[in-house]
Order: sequence, then C-alpha cells, then structure tokens
Amino acid sequence: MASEKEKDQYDYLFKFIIIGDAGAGKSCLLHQFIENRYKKGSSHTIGVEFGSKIIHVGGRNIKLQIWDTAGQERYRSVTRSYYRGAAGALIVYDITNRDSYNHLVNWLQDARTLARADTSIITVGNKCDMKDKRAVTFLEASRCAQENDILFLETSALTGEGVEDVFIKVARVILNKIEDGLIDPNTMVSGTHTGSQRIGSDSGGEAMSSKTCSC
Amino acid sequence: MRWPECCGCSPPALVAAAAGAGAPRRLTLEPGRCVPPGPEEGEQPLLVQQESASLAASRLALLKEQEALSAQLRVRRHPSLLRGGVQARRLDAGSPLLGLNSPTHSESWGSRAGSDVNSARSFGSRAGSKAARALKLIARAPSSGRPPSAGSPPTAAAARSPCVSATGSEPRLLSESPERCSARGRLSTVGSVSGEESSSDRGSYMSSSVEGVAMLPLAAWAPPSRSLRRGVRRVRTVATGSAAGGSSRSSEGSPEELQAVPEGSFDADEAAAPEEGRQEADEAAPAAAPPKRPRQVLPSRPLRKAGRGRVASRSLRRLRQTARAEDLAQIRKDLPRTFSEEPTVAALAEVSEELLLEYAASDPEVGYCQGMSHVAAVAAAHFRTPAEAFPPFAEVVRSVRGLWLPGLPLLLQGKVAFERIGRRHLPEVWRHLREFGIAPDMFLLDAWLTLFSRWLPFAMLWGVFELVCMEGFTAVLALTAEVLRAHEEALMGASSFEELFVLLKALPAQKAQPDARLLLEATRALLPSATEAMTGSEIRGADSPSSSSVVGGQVEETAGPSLWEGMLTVARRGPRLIFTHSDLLEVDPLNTDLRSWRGFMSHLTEAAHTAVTMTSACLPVHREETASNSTNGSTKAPSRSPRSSANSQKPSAPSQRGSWRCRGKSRGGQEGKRGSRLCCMGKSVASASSDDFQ
Repeated sequence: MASEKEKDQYDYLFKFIIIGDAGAGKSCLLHQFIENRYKKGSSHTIGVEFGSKIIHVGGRNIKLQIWDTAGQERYRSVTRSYYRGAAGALIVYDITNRDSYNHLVNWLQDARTLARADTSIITVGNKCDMKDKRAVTFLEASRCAQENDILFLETSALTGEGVEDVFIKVARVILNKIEDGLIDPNTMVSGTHTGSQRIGSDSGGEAMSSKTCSC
Repeated sequence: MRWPECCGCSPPALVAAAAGAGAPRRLTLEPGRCVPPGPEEGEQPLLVQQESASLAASRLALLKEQEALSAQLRVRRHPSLLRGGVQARRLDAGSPLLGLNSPTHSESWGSRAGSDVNSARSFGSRAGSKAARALKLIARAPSSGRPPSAGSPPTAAAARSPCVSATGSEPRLLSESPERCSARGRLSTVGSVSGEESSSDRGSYMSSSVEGVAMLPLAAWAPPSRSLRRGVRRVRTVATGSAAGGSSRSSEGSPEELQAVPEGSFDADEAAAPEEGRQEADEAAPAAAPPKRPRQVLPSRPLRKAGRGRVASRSLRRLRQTARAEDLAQIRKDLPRTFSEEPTVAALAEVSEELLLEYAASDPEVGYCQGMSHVAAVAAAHFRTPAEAFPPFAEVVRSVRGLWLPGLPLLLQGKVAFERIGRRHLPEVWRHLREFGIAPDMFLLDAWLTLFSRWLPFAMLWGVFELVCMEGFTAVLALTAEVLRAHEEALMGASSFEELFVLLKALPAQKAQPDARLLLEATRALLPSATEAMTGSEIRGADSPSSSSVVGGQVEETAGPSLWEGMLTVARRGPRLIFTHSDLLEVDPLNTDLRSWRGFMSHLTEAAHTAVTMTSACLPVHREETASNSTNGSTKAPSRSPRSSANSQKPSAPSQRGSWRCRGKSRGGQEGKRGSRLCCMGKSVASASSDDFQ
C-alpha cells in the first residue's frame, strides 16, 4: 500500500513508452530527459530500458515512468508487452533518415492497438541539430501528424532542444483528459495511477507493486 | 637423423596431429634441430594404408574441406600460439571443466599445441579428430600449387605420424603420443616455471581450458562436411573414453619444458605460403588477408592493422555488396555503439562487421539481430582477423541461434526454464526481484542476447562464449543464475524497483565482480539442473492443453504421414528447440552434435527413421522424401532394425546430454503415452499416435 509520505511526491503516475526505428535516438532522448545531458557512447537497447522522473505540470506533480524499447523489428515480439497500459507513447524518428519516418505508420498502428485506446501519442523528429542532413521536413511531418491526429515536435537529444517539451506536452494532454473525465485514473489497471501504489510494468503477465519510490 | 624439411614442416599439420593424437609426452625441439621420426616411423605408412580406401573417398571431398585446411593453417598463425607460456601457466590451474585437475597433467603442454591436445582429447576429440582427419587430407592432397620440396614435409609428417591413423578406424591410436608431431613444429622450450600451484588463482580455469578448446579446434570450427562430422562422432566416444588414460600418460614432461614458446621458426607465413596458394581460388577464405604476424608475446602484441585505417578488405567489400540492406544498415549502426568504451573493439570494427555479414550470409534465417554485434566484437578482439575469428564466432552463434531467430524462440523458452532455476536455486533473489516488480525479461534480454556482454567484464567474455558453445543454452541458463548469485548481496541490498533495474543493467560496473574461475566452476556444477529445467519446460510445453488440442486435430486428419510432414515442417523452419515427446523417441535439442543445421538434420532424420521403423510402419515414400529433403540428398540416415536401434540407443541415460534416445514402444505404451508428438517451441506442429502407423 502506498504510504502517506509517498503521496506528496506525486499526484499521478503516467506510464510512457518510447518506440521507433533503431538508431532514431530513443535512448538518448530518454537519457537527455532524465539526466539533462547527452549520453555519449550509448549502447543500443536490447530489450527495454527504464527511466522515471517527476515533472510539474498544471500544478500537479506527475511521475513519468518511461519504458524505452529496442527498435529492431525482431524485438517487437518482446517489446510489445510493454505497450500495455501506456498512457503516453512517443514515436521517435530520425529526421536524417527517411526510412525511420516512413515506418511511423507501423509504429502508430502498434501503439494504437497494443497500448490503451486513449493513449496520447506524439511523434518526435529527433536529431534536429543535424539540419544539413535533414531528410524529412518539419512541414511534412507536421502535416502527417495532423492527419493522424497525433502530436508532433522536433527535438535534439544532443543539445536537449525540445526534449523536455515532448514529455510535458504529452503529460499535459493526459492530465487534461483526466480532468475532463475522459480518463479515470482510478479505473486504470496500469498506465496512470494516483499516488505510487504500483510501479513496474505488467510485462510477463504479472502485475508488480512497489512499496517504495526511490525518487 | 635430421628431419630433412624441418623448416618446411607444416605446423598446422603438426598441431592437427598433436590434437588428433592422445597425450603429448614432451617436446624439446629447437628451430633447425628437429627430432627424427621415431622408431615406429616405418610402421606409420602402413596405418595410413589401412585406411587408404576411406582416404580415397575423402579425397573427393577435398575441395569441400579446404575450409578445414585453411583453418588448420590459421591454427598455426593464431596469436594464441604465441602465448605458450601464458597458456601453460593457465593450464596449471587444472581444468575442472575438462575434468582434468592434475597439475602434472599440464606440465608437458608448454605449447598451444599441447593445450589443444588436451582439449581435443577430453572434449571427445571433436576437434581433435577433425583435425586429424584434415591432416589426413593434407597427407593425401594433391600437392598442386606447392613446390614439391615444400609439399613433402607435411605429407611425410602426416604419413609418419601416428596421429594420422587416429581418425575413426584406429581409435586406440588416439592415445598415441604426438610428441613427434609437435616436435616437428619446431617448438623450442624455454626452461622456466613449472606447474606452480599458485597460478591457479590467476588465470581463470575457463580461459585455460576453454581457450585451449577454441584454438586447436580451429579446424573443427570450420564448417565440416557431414561425412567429417560422422567420422568425428564415431571417434568421439572412443576418444572420450580414452581421455582419462591419455591424461595420465601425459604427465611425463619435465617442469623445464612447461613454458615452451614457439620461436621464429614457427613463422606461419613461409610455410603457409603454399597452402595459401591453394586457397586462392576461394575468395571467401579471408585467410590470405592477415598480415605478417608479429612475434611478440601477448599481451604486448600490438593491434594488427586488420581493422584499422585501411580500405575495407576485398572480402568485406564483397560481403557489403551482397548483404541484405537492412542487415547491413543495422550492423553499421550498431557497431559504433558496441563496447564503445573498449578501444580494441573500435579498432577492429571492420573485423566485427565482416564477421556479422558473413554470418548473416551463411545463416539468412538468423541474419543479424541486435546483440550479436557484441558477440562479434568479442570474437574480433580475441582473434583479431576475420579469417581466424569467423569459424569460432559462427560456432558460438549457432550453438544458441534460437536466441536471435525471428520471434526469439529460445528466449521465450529459456525464460520458462530460468524461472524454474530461479525458484529452485536462487529463491531469495528470485523472491526479491519479484517483490519489487522485476520481471525476468527485463534483464534476461540484456544478458542473453548479448551472451552476457552486458553482464560480465569484457575480459571474461570469450571464455563464456566458449562455454556456451560447448554446452549450448544450458550454459546460458546456468551462468545467468550464477551471475545473479554472485551479485546476490548487491541485489538484496537494492530496495526499489528502479534501484534493482539500474543495478541489473549495469552489473559489469559493480565494484565486486565475480571471480571468473569460481563463476565458471559454479556454472558447470549447475549445468545438470539447467538441463533439467530446459527439459522440464519442453515437456510442459508439450503437455499444455493448447498444444494438445492442436495436435489432436492434426492427428485425426492426417494420421500416419503427419509425423513425417510435421518433422519436415519443423525441419524447414529451422532448428528451433525441437523434441518429440513420446515413448518412441526424443531428440535432445541441447545435443552438442546439434550445433549446425546439418548436424541437426541428420539427427532428425535418423530419429525419424527409427521412430517409423519401431512402429513397424515403414513409409518408404515418405522416408525417401524426408531423406532427400532434409539432407539435400547428401547423406542418408542409416537404416536400422527396430530392435537393434532401440537397443543401441537405450544405453543413453535419460539425463545425459548430447544424445537422442529411443525407448521401446511397449514401455511407453505401459506408461500410457502412446502419442508421438513433435513440438516446436511448445506448439505442436504435427503428431501421430503410434497406432496410426499400423
């Protein structure tokens, strides 16, 4: 059970997933968000990585529990179990890599079918510091996001540009949905929780609970 | 008598000979002063003659065996050959893995060749006998492309060597001393340390024993032909049996000879030149690529230029052209971020790339999966050149290829098995992890798909790979448990999900690292349990209601032939963990023989034949079809009579690894298990009740 002292740490717990093609910069994005610095010599993700951070949005403390998944197609069978119950999904592509942009549709479909139906999804065009190598224009991606009714931002995990905005933007949308009554945090199995009663993922078919929060 | 061509002796042949034969007694030779062939010299050709019929047949396969030959050459060039002293000292630690603990046992193995002998013999001589076989081929090879003078020594050496006849038909000779062969390798001994007991805590025993395995068997690492495999398998049993005897004989070396290090005469390049000429036609053999070998003893040996600042080698460029675009792109993305903190790996990135591309080409079903780059990087750092690294690398990957196959089938199955091990052997850690919400796949993926590259210090990794290569997935299971146990204190100290998660993702960064020797010893001790856990998970899969119901439908519809069709289906889909859970036969997926697809297929075919014969429902049409489909017509499974096959297979103990076994029908019938199911990853693809065959 959540102890009283934990409750003051955050009001909501949102589960996020970061998906997208391999090499798009998902892990660096997460690292930049959590640590506020670029992760040099980072290794590719095998399976999943995890990070969490408390942000302050709309007068609420929100704890983000972020699952960063491996991008290679072959890992999808494993990473799919982490989609379940995610309240927010970041689909990351590399603006210098056209292919990673073209695969957005697949990722979007995965997120829609495997995460919650009302998952808030944002498309993130990463590596926007590499303007000279840009292969996907801002306008094009923005239009695509609009058509699919998802959010869109460009970021640079290297410089940190736009990284925090991405998470805040999604959290705000989810928070709005909660406040509008579109999402009832108490009825959710996972994804968002009030307090910190639960942590961890439901992967492996087992609900996990945490008594403490290290934050 | 002076060995006439001592400078032209073919070290690979010698190494092979030494490997194929049994215990080395000692070798004391210096460059230019080769010991004359022993008194049995005259007898050896006879032995060879006795085998001439089979040799003649094998000559036909010579071209196919070029790979093996080139691997032989590589043995000699192998950097590890330069590490005689190091190896010898490591060997002193004894080799629990090999079951050879006597310090004296290793005394006479000053050289790499010596350690090779050890490993070859005690590892069922898989490598050793292959090496000897390859040697035989050398002996019989048309010496095209090599000058007569240069061509004769290896031939002569091979002919005179007792090792030559140590293949197949003369198993007793496996225990013959190869010292003369080794001697011709012009190993000179530098007197120094003898088996210091203290050294046991220095080198990990894994590095000692396992390196030995990996080095020598280079011939064996090369994809062997099926006939070769069979020959090897035949010898193996004998060799294993004679290992103990051989080891006792090998303890005659004087301490002074312990640290035999190769001298200049061991230079690969001169002697290898003619052999390389033979390889010229084979573009795929990158053996010609390695530059001149530096002669310093490791670890001061500088990095070779192989992967550094050069235009990509021809073979690499060719591989890049033919590779699948997505594999190539992914590999090139991943390599710069594989062990980015290891300068050696970065310098050898091209070698790693070549390994991965070559493997992807050789096994398109696996292709490239993230995680393999770690394995390749370790192999590259260990062997330095693609030519040397590829055969062992491929062997390692193949031994657990199910981990990387699309769908990650072995991972899924292993997870179930690991749960059993975790509950049983690590109850506290297991409970702790569960309590804080750590699911096994959160950390197993990192550990397994990189073969512990993210769990153990870099220096330990190659030893681990070799263990995995020898023992298959059970080693992965056991090692996982042991690594967790080694870090038990830290894990139990973590008191939150996140702390635990971070800890599990950064085990190599922990201050306290497991001792390599102890860790691998413990792993070895846990292997039986791991095997049990694997078997248990398979059986459970077969018994699960879902698979049974699938089976049921298919059985009734297709009746008899479904077993065959099912096997073929499974066979075509790849050597995933397959077993038949029935009273008729079981194919052990962890069989050490099943490391390659071809080996697997031969087993499968053989098992299928036995199954059908035993149910007295011979289906000649299907049998032929199976044989031709599954083996590409290269070999046919031997036909067995029902009873004899049952009897011949029976001696294998149920828990014994590395064998498929067959049980009598009646026994199974009494147990009420009459259905013969073929299961693939827990899902039965086909089945037939034994009654359907009649």
